Amino acid sequence: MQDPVEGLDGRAGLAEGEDSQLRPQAPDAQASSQNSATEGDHGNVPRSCPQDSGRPAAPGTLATPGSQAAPGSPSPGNTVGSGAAAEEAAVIPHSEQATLVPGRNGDTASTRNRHLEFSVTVPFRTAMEAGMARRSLVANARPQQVMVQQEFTANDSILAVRWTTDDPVLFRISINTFLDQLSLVMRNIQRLEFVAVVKRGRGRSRES
Amino acid sequence: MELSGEYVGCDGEPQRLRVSCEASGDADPLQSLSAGVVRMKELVAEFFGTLVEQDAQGLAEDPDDALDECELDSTMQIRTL
Repeated sequence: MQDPVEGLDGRAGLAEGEDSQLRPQAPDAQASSQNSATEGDHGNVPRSCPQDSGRPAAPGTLATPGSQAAPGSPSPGNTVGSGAAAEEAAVIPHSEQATLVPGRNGDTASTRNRHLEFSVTVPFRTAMEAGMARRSLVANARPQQVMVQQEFTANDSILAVRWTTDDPVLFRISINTFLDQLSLVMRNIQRLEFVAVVKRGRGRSRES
Repeated sequence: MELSGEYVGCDGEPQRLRVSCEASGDADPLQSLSAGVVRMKELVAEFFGTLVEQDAQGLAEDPDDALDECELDSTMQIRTL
């Protein structure tokens, strides 16, 4: 009868260990956020370059991109293949980048545009269940965080998980793995409840 | 109870996936949530399957544009430094 309790204690210990191990990652998180900000600034460039302006029109008609590109930036459009064009294209986006950042709150928008994000919210019945699930899933998610950033948050009885990456294929793999593990965790919670009910029943029968 | 997912792509537009997990009668809420997770898996597979296909088609259609964009990005990085 003590085995389940010992098992839970062991799991709790492991979970706490995992949490303590995750704490030192805070500097990495800050570094990644700084990198994201930097990448976000760089992410502004594709918006203002001639190729981006030409892309929306390309699927429709081939003639349209040329006519649209000329009024906006005739020089880069005319000399796409030369080094001078590259220099001019490099300069124009830089100036536009400076003007766009204040007005559009570029850091936030660029960060969102640079990376793909997916979040899931799972409503448990109690905060205890949400906490149990979070501790179990965090431990299982550690190996995956190398390629896909995952954030687990338990707020009262709501478990929120967010993935950040730039590859939709990794998204699908990571999210499917999470959902599989979530199903397993919920099954285990149900079993624990069943065991608890059985124990209560036995206790009442002994009392009577 | 509602199991919800939200995707934010490169364009910044959020797309939501929602699965209702209402327990009927004496059904266990956790059981309903488990069924919702199964349904969410199906939605995720369908959603990202389409997304991956679109991404692959985009790369296949404009390989030169993608390469030019990378070169331009590199140039910008050098100039920024």
